[in-house]
Amino acid sequence: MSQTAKDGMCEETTGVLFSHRCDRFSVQTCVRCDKALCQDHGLPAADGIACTSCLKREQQGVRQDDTDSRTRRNDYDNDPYFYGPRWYPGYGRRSRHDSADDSASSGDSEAADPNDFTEGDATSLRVEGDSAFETDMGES
Amino acid sequence: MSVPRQPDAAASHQDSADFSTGRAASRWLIYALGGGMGHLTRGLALARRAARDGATVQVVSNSRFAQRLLNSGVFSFDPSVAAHLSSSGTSTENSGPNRWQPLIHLEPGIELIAIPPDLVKEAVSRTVRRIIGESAQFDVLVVDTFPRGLAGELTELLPSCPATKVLVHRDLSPDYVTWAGLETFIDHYDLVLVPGEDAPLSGVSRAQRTAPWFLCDTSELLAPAAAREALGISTGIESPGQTQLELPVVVVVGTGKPVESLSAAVAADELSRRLVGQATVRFASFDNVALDRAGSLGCSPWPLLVTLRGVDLLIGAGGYNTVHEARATSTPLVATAQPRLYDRQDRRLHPGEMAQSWNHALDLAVLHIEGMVSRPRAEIGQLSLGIDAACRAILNL
Repeated sequence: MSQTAKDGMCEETTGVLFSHRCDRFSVQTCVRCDKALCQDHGLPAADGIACTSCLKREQQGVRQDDTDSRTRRNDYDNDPYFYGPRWYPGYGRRSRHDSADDSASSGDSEAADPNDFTEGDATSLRVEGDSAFETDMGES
Repeated sequence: MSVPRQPDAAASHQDSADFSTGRAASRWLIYALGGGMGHLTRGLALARRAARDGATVQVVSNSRFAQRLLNSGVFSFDPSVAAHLSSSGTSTENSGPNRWQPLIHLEPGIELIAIPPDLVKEAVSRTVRRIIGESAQFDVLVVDTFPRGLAGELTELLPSCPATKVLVHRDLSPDYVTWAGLETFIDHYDLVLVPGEDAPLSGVSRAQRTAPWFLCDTSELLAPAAAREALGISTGIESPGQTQLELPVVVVVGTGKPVESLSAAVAADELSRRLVGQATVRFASFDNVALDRAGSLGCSPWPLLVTLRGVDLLIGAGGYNTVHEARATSTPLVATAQPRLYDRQDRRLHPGEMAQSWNHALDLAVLHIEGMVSRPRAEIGQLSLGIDAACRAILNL
């Protein structure tokens, strides 16, 4: 068991300019790689809860097998966690239906993308963008 | 679509009570929509004070805890006769046992209307329009925090509402103030109450600042021993001749969003291991998933405020109630600022209170306990000052 797993911390990496470990406590483990995960870094998969890294690798495997980019099947198309070039190659920078000839799709999950921005490196604790105002009924 | 509400238990209350000024008892509607417990708690605080003055008050909330509070026995009504609104079924908040431990009872004349927490914007708007339409006879409309309503639904309702309109102006994101045009929209309100902290529109001419608002008065706070018992801590001497060493009490608060409550439960568990033999750690929450995770550390006293005389260190988030309740009772606080769409928790916290993460919070807690010196707590002032001033301001309109 890794040190972070023994410490009860999430082992997923996150970040914008550079990767760093998630600073939240782990509440579950990845069914595929046994990584300790916080609530946000574990997502439902067919075989249980999987980490975002394993799911990203799975998506890249599906994409390589799919000859028609327009019929690409992605169960996590609507998951905000996968928005952004870091997790969805080409998204936000080119049409998502372009063929993915992108260094970010090489499978290197540690590649930094200066245009991407995840919550791990956000300097503001406030949600950016006005589209969320008067939309989320659970906000305060 | 009906909403869960109490039967009108206030009719006799309304008939018998008059204000000290000789005015007939008035009817208030308090709009306290928003996540968590903050809006609901402030709404109930104002409702209690108004009800003591003879008003009948309806509090509307879509908090995920409102339905549980409705069924907790604190209201002067029989919950079995309340009509329940069907929801989409995705909310798990009302599943499982109700572990609420009420430590106060609310005054007659207060009615809670609990809108299901999983209703989307359009459904919330329709429900609010219907509630306000059904309650067209109210004299005072109090809106907590969201001048246009949580879903923007008050933009149509407010201009034609004949009631006295009062805004409770807690901190708001300046981005939202600009986006929603609140600097002009606020003119629809007759009074802007600023309860104990700075806020973007607190400088408008119709704004009145008060001390922070609390659900309870000082007289309702439990003595330390009773407070510890309410937190599930045994303080009795177990056998003749045994001296019970009373350890400091650390309470980790699980509020806010479900994932935040769960993180707090995990933190409480970790802290309990780090402070074994040095402190007693408890986890206070109303979130059943988080309480399950905390196991034997969990408790659900409501409101937690009444137990703070028995708490030596409070660990939580930077929400309005946690922060102001800790400060008012001189309870040391370590808090992490949680991201919110409207509330700027990082601005509310003082540097000495703020932890950068849960891990940092635990480190600070350990340092605090290890360096703690036993000394008398500062005397707690009159907690009702803010809410008294608020009600006076409303009645003087």
